[in-house]
Amino acid sequence: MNGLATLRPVHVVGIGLHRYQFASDTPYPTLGLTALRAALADAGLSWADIGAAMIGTGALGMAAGRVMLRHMGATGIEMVQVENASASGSSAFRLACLHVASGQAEIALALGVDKHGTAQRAAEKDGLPRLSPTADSPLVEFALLARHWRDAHGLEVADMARVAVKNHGNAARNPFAQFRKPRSLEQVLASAPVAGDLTALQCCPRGEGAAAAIVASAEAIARLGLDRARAIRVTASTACSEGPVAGDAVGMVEIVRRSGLDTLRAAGIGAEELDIVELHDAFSIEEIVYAEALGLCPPGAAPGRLRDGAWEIGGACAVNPSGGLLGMGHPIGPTGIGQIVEIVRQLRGEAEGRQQPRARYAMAHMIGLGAVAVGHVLRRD
Amino acid sequence: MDLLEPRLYAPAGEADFALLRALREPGSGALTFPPSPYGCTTTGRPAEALEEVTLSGHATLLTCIAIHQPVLPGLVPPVLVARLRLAEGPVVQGLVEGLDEAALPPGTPMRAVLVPAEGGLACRFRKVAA
Repeated sequence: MNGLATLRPVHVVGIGLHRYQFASDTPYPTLGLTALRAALADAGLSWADIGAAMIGTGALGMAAGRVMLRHMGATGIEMVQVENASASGSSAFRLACLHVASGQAEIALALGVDKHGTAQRAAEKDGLPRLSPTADSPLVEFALLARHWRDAHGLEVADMARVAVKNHGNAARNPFAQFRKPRSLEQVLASAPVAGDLTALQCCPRGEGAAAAIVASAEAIARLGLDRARAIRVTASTACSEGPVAGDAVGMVEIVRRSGLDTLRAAGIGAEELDIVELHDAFSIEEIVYAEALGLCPPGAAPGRLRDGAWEIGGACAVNPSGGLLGMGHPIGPTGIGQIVEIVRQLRGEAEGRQQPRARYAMAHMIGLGAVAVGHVLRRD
Repeated sequence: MDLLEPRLYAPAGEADFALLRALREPGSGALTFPPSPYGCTTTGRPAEALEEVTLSGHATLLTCIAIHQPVLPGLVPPVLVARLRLAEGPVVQGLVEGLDEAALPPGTPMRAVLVPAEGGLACRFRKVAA
């Protein structure tokens, strides 16, 4: 079983962020500790209460967690650094949940922090030749996918641009987002062409930032007198990697379909019960194909959902109310934990200025280089 | 002129057409491209158990786009890149000759060719008659 159903309940009790921003001289400990101290204050906990720390980062290098966390005081806890491409933060959060669910810890921290640095992809060091220099480029991969979706499914360029309009609009209402300007359809379409039909405003920015989430057992919540009403239950946590793909199916879409089904099954709900989804929209086309793969609408119906507002805040299911990777940003290590932070804020009813009404179920879903996927479902009890 | 990447391609002996090099798992027929010393990407069998084969270089274009910005080192825009299904099955990305994207709809027959680039001969794909 690739979920939490057979283990003890896990709740998110504290969240914190350092705003996502363009590259700066800010040292990463400043970013990470800002998010961590905010999460501790939000939970009403002290550093000494944390039993294990999972650090999600893609570009900082060896032992970044220890270098950063020694400024909180040495408490002797387990620390693990997690790198899983775009899903680094999601994987760190999953490990923190599993630590609590399995009884390894009563309270665990997932902390994502990154700067746009010197990280090199392992695919560039495998010693194998490539027929095309574009072979490992996510930008090119998703630009090709976008064109394929146009050719095969009748998608229009404006349909993709509407994803960016929605998510930049949400980000404009999120004080932690890297981009804070609403964009019109005309502005998105007129921004610089990058690859295929993708324009600059349909591609996520690189940057830096930090996100923290603290998870706790029900026993810890009771023992420490934490605010039960603000604790949000994690009902499913799943992870997988790419599998065999039949026929003309697209591998990076199929992994999302399988991961989404697994996550919803583990949570015991259907996609129609989701009030919020935060997903990997590094490029606008991804929201369309992944939303369909996750079952938010029938195949081919995503453009209609974008046009009729079903995925806006206030619609049937708010998709990327944080602004997503396109608007809030994609600093890599923090991104998946930032999704959790947004969802917890929403499920608590504390997302001032961008609150999805009556939200109860939410999914956070990330992929990493199209080859790994991590899904979580959270629920307001 | 030398081939820029002789592990991947070789002259076909006909005009400037190219053959592609791959590994084949004898039992299943599964192809591994690019050829890898680490094993078969379908069955996991070690490279020593695989046989070297050449692929025809014939392909069908699945999708083609233009790259408009200098997003990758060594790739000077504008340039066309395509996803192609090789005649023997594997799906690959390849750079395409020319800049006429509109002339390259899905299903276009393509063939690997060797063209001068970066001081050697590089593999590109060219539209050919059906």
